[in-house]
Order: sequence, then structure tokens, then C-alpha cells
Amino acid sequence: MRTNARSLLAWATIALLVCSCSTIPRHPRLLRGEPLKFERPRPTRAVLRNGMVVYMMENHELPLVSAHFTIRTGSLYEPEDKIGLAGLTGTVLRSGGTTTRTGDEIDQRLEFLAASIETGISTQEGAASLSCLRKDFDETLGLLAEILQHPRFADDKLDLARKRLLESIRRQNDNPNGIVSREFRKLVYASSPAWGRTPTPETVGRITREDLAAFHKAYFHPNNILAGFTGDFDSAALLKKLETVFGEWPRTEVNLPAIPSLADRNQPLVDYIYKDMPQTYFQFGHLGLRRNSPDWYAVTVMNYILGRGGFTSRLMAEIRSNRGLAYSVGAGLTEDTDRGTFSGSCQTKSESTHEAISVMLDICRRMATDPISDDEMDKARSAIRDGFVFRFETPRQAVEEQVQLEYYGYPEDYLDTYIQKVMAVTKDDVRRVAGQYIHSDQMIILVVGDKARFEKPLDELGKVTEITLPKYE
Amino acid sequence: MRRQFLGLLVVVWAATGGLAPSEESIRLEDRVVEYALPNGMNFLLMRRTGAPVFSANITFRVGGVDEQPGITGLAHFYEHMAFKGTHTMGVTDYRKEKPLLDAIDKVALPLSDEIAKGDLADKTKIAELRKKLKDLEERARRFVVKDELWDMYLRNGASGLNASTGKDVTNYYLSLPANRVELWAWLESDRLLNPVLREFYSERDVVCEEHRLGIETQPMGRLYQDFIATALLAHPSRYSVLGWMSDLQTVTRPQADAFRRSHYMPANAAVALVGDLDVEQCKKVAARYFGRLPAQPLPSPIRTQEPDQRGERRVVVEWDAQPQLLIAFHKASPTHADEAVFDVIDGVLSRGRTSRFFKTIVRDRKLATSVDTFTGPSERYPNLFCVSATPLYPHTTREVEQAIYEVMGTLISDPPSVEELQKVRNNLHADFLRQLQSNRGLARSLAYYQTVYGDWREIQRHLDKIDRVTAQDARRVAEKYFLPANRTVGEIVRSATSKEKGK
Repeated sequence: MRTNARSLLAWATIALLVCSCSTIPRHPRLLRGEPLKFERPRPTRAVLRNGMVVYMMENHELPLVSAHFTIRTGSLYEPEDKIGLAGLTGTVLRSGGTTTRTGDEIDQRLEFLAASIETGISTQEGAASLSCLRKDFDETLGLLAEILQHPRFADDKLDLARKRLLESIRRQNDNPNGIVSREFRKLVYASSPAWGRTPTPETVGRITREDLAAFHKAYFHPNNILAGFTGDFDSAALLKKLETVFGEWPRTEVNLPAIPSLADRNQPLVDYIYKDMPQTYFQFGHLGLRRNSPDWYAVTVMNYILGRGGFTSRLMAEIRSNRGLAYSVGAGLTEDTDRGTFSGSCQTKSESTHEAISVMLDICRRMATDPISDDEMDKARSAIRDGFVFRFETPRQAVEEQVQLEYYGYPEDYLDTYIQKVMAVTKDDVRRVAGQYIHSDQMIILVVGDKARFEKPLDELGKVTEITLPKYE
Repeated sequence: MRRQFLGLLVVVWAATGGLAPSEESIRLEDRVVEYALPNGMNFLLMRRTGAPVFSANITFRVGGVDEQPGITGLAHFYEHMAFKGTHTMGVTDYRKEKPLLDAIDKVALPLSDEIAKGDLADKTKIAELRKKLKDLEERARRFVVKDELWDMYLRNGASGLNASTGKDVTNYYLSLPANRVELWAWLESDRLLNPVLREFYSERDVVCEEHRLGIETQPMGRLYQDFIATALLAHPSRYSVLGWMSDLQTVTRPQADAFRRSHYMPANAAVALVGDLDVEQCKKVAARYFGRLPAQPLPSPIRTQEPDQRGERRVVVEWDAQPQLLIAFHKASPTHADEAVFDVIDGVLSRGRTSRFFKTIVRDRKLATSVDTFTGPSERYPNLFCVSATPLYPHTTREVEQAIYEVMGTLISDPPSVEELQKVRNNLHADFLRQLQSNRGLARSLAYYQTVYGDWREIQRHLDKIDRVTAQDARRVAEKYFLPANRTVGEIVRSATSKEKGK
């Protein structure tokens, strides 16, 4: 009897297996299954005696090593009359050589080894990266340590970097993409211009070699750096090595200049830039919410439903799929500065400019008022939960994610509680954050194109201010 | 000094946490499992430890090169349509939807014919037909489940889901959690077996917007289109992947379906799966799902050949933009022995800060902010070796062009040194290793080489060939191909009108 029941059960199991293996289900929904269970990789964190924070994760599959250093600095901190200083410092730090080697000598050696060291400074981060074969790691790390501590900022390399920067300024209005994103940042961050300003020939002309050296001296200190290493090394040996190559580099207090805070606009704005082309590029939006706000979980779900969820977002479905108005369209809140922005953008043929703008604004406005379906909630939350594993697809991503989280001051349990918090977001939360952070009455709308070809006069959107871009020979 | 990496050995350690790794050298060939179905579909399966995810890449040997005037841009347009669903996906009731799709075609064909009359077209007729088309599409939309394929993938955690089309191939790719292999096979085999080209005419408008975005509003996009069409006269590799706008605006659904039938057969594809996979289970899943596709003969290759070039060709694009320069030289097909030599020349001329172009033209003479080289547009047929440059004001494209020829001439007067050759080899070998780091990149390379060269092992054979390239080869190839009569020059020139027109 017992035996019988058991064998029956066994047969039933086998039948089930055969069934699920050899037939093709009618609909892929039936293949859904459980979400993947996985253990998040946890990089090791250590602090060097001089204060440098180091994250490490070994990966012995291939004989390669890579590293990424994040330095707390940025173009936010450059003086107003020398915009471009941070960028030039970031470039010439690497190209200009060190006190014992010229830039050309470093190029020669690294390129022969198929290794690379690159440095740069963006709005709110300084970066130095290294990539090499395991056998060349000591030498490459030594070079990087020398570059970070003892850069030469050679005049000829500054001259070359300056000329190339000036040429890129001359060319910055050749493509509409660059115009829209740059000018939109200027408008949305007008109350604290450091977030949106860009170099001009005048500001770049004032920058001297001494400025570069001083900018480097102000921020490049070990206690102001977070480094992440992945690849074919032994962590204990690496730590020892780091204490040696950075051992002489003393801890020094760093003072970050205060940046004026951003203030909301109280009225809408329509700005227009003429460009002779058959398509209109536009972007609209306003200031958003602070990084680390507890509302980010609800905002992430809202973004997904509105306009960041690829083809399944409301904007894609209506603007692209139903109306055929654009190839790319999106909107949402981003956390790219301490206030971030809400912004949407799209490119459509000149003759459908008003249609695309008004439909997009309407969909954004209705985010706070229209009902949200169970299906939309499930779509967004499942995609975020089941796709979470891809934030750690490679050891390098896992390490860089940790470095970023610490750099921007996220709580230590951020990744551990992330999915749980996203899954707890409700429809009411989504509508609440939409109402709280999308302000139709404060929209800055920037339109680049040829208004003579639009289907209606542009000023039907409101009073239009025309921006004239500088012309270069 | 770098012999250890020249033997094409991938050095792999078992990732046994904490324990001293036991070193073992194996070739990539030992790790890729080939599996072919009776219908001719090829699978390349590679198991890697690491995150519990995998990347999939299905590459079809179909691209812009398979088009003719009238249907240019269709390979890429079809790639968009492949996301629109099937008998099951993207629709609530296909039986009810189908008659509406047929009715739409009956309106779309005369509409395209009328539009094609240009100035002689009957505007009222166009407006009437457009309205009819819109109404029918509106009715058909009632049965549409919006982007259900996309939705199903994302709900299951897909990352990097997309497709891309070039002149040679079209590929469909994504990464998924490791427990979603069968879901992938279901969705991909379904869209090959039962595709329905719904929402065709609204998607046609989307593709037109993509054309405006990539070519009509971008000076370099426009220059590249005109430049390739000037360098190549006869071969269909001369058309932009995005096609000609007038073709996009008038192409019809029956044309797209015919294009699909003549190129999307199982033997015309290669499928790569790379990641945390059970290879034996993948084979079973592949057979069960993709084995359903009927075998079909392959399309015949293109017979048209480019006539030899007799003299320099020049093309100018006027734009409200700063000058840019492109130069192309005809070269042989990528399977020719000279291809490896071109890759070495490419490294010597333009790779990195120690390359000849950078040192001479950018760093020392400061004539340009950058000088790069690339190969295009098609790897399935004889191709072009191209140089692009961005002049540094006040230097002109002519000065930069002259300097480029001078540096290229040094390949003959001063052939690459032993160190230069070794540097290029070291970098190409390191590229190979770095590409192994990502499931996605590896899946793409395996499927691409299998489709274009008929054998993924060509990835490694090509590196072997590169190791054997000598300074004398570089000199011989430079003498043979880099001739004035064999080149095409394209440039962007500021338009006279854009200087005054300001409002």
C-alpha cells in the first residue's frame, strides 16, 4: 500500500516532468516560474592608513585586472571665470606626464603593454581608471600612483588639450542633440549656474598651468578617494601593494567650496533655438527631488510606468507606437545632481511639433490623476525585481556600484532592502509622487528646430524667448 | 616577450573561492559547444561561471546589402516589425484582426502609388486614402496588446533587450536570469514561426523619424550616406542602412513580408547562448522550439561586382556645421589574405596616442583634433578602408587631407618597426581577452563570425593571421591600395545660406 502510493507519486512526478519538458505551452506566461534566487556579490571594503577607501573583488577567470578611482571633486568647484579648468586638469593629469616621466614616455609604455590609464573630471566626480593584463599590473599600478601623486602638467600637453577643447566649443552647435541637452541644463539650473555652465573661449583662455596644479593639489588626496579593483589578483597581496605605492601620500584635509542651492521657478518658460532642419528636438522639465530621498522607490516605479520602461511605458505606447511621432521618447525624474530634474525629451518631424509636445505634457500631467492599473504596477515591479541581478552581472559592476553608493552617501543597507522597498510601493504612492514632483505650471520647454515649418505658431505654447547661439567662423 | 598570449590561449582558472587557483590553459574551442538542427539552424553554446544570467544573440545573415532601390531600408524596418507580435503575442484575437490587416493593405498600396507620382499626385486622393488608412488602423488597434513581447521579457528581468541591423546582419539580443532559457526559446521561435506585421504603417512613420534623427539632422550622418554612395557605384552596399526616405515613405506590408520570407530561414541564422547555462538542456530546448521551423533554401548571393575605380571621386555636403573629412580606399573582401594586413595598418595609423596619425597630425602639427580609421560598410563583400578627421581651426580639410596622405606614405618609406608591429599585436590580443569578459560581447562575436564567415573559429584564426603580418606586407598593401585613383573623399563645407539665415 505504502509502496504503491509512493510509486504512484513517482510516476506522477515523472509524467509531470515529461509533460513540462516535451510540450510547448500555449502562452509564455505559463513558463513564468519563480524569480531567480541569487546571492548578491559582496566586494571587500578596506581603508588604507592614509584614508583611501578600497573595494576589491577577485575574479580569476581571465588574466586581467581593472581599477577605477573616484576622486571627490568636479567642475562644480572651478572658479566662474575659469570654466573648463576641471576638465583640462582631468585631461592633462594623464597626458602631461609625471615629475620623472614625460607623457609621451607613459603613452609609449602603456600602449606597448596593451594597458590603459585614463583620467577625467566631470561635473561632480573625478575619475582615474586602469586596465591591464595581470602580468603588467604592478608596473601599471605604479604608473597610475605616480600620475595621481606627482603630475607634471607639461605646458605642451596643456596647449594641445586647450586647442582641442576650443575646437570642441566651436563645434558644439553642429548637432542638435548637444544643443538641447546643454541649453536645457543651463535653463533648469539657472538659480545655481555651477550645475549647468559650460566653457567658453574666454574662460578657457584664462586657464594657466598653475591653475591646473592648484586644482589638483586642492582635491587629489588619498582620503578624498574611493578605489575599486576587480580581476586576477590576491586581495591581501593587493592591499599590501597599495599601502606601498600610496604609502608616501599623506592624508590632507580637503575643503569643498559651498555651492549655492538650487531654487524652484514659479512660472513656465518657453525657449526657442533656430536650427535649419526638418525635425524638432525638444526637452521640457524642472528641478526634481534630492538624491537619497525616501520617495525614490515610488519614483522609480513611476518613472517606469511613465516613460523609462522602454516600450511598455505610457509615453512610448502613445507617442511612438500609436502615433508614429518619434523614434525615441522618454520622461522621468533623474538623480544626476543634489536636486536632480524631472525632464522629458523627444524628436519629431517639424510638422508634428505641437502635437508631440502637447500629448507628452498631457500624459505627464495625468500621471497624478489617472488610475494606475494592477498590470502597470506588476510590469514595473517585476521588471525591477527580476532585472536586479544585472546590477551585479560582472564583478566590475558589483564593485563600481558599491563605490558609487558610498560616494553619494547611500545607507549601508541600501542594496539589501532595495527590492523589498520597491515591492512595497503602492498605486497611491506612485500617484502621490507624480503629483508632488511633476509640476505642469513650472515647465521649462526648450524647442530646437525651424518654427516656420511647425503646424502652428510656437507662441501658442506661451511667451517665447529666443536664444541666439554664438556663431563661429 | 608576449609569446604566452600569442598562441591564442585563453588562460582560465577555476574560480574556487579562497583556494589557490590551479592553472590550466584551454582554447576557446574547448568551451564552445556547437549544435546544429536538421533544418540548418546553428547554435553555439558556452557555459561560464559567474552571475546566474545568460546572454542570447540570434544573428541573421540579412542586412541592408540585401536590398534594391524601392525597398532600401527594409532590412532595418523589418527588424522593428519583428517586435510587433505573432498569432499569439501582441493580439487578443488574431482571427478577428486579420481581415482588418488585409483591408489596410488594400488602401496602403494605392496610397503608395499615388505618393510616388510626386508633383503629379492627386492631393485629394492622398488625403482620402490617408484617412481611410487611419480609420482602419484605429479599428485594428482594438485587438492589439501593446508590445507584449517586450513586456513579457521585461517582466522576466530582461536586460539589454534590443536588435540591430547593419549592412551584413540583423541581430536580436538580450540577457536574462539563468532560469529563463525556455521563455527565451518560446518567444524567439514564435516570432520566427508565426510573425504578424501589425501596426505596420504607424511603425513606418517611426522609421522615417529615425531617418531624420540619424541622417537629416546630423551632418556626419548625411555625409556618411553620400560618401559611401559615391565610393560604391554598383553594389547594394552603397545604400545607407536607414534607406532612402522616399522608399521608407512608400514601402508596403506585403513587400516587408516577402523580404522576410526570402531571408529569415533557419539555415541563414546563427544563435549564441553564453552564460550560466546547462548546455545539454539548451540543446533540448533548442531542438524542441526551433526544430519546428521548416528548412528552406538559402537566398542566392549578390552577383553584382563593383567596377574598378578610375580616378579620385569627391563629394561635398553643405551644412551649417564645422568642416569634417572622410577618405575611403577600395580594398578586397574580408576573406582575402590582405585583410589581416589592413588590421595591422589600422593599428599602426590610428590606434592610441602613439599611432602615426595622432603623433604627427594631432600632437605635433596640430592640424586636427582627431584622425581615425575604420572599415565599412559591408564585411560580406569587397569593402572600404576609411579615414575620418576633424580639422582644428584655422586649418582646412585640404591641409588635413594632405597630411593624412603624407603619413600613409610613411608605410612605404618607413615600414612599421618591430616594436610597432608587436604593439599592435599585443593590443589585438588583449582586445580578444577583454571581449571574453562579457557574455553579451562574446555571444555577439560568436554569432557574427558564424553568420558572416561561416565559422566562429575565424575569430581566432584572424588573430593567427595578424601575428604573421610583416612590415613588408604593410608596405606592399599600402603600395597596392592607397592610390589616388582608388580613393573617394567626402567633406562637410559650411553652406553659404546658413551664414545669413539666422531666424
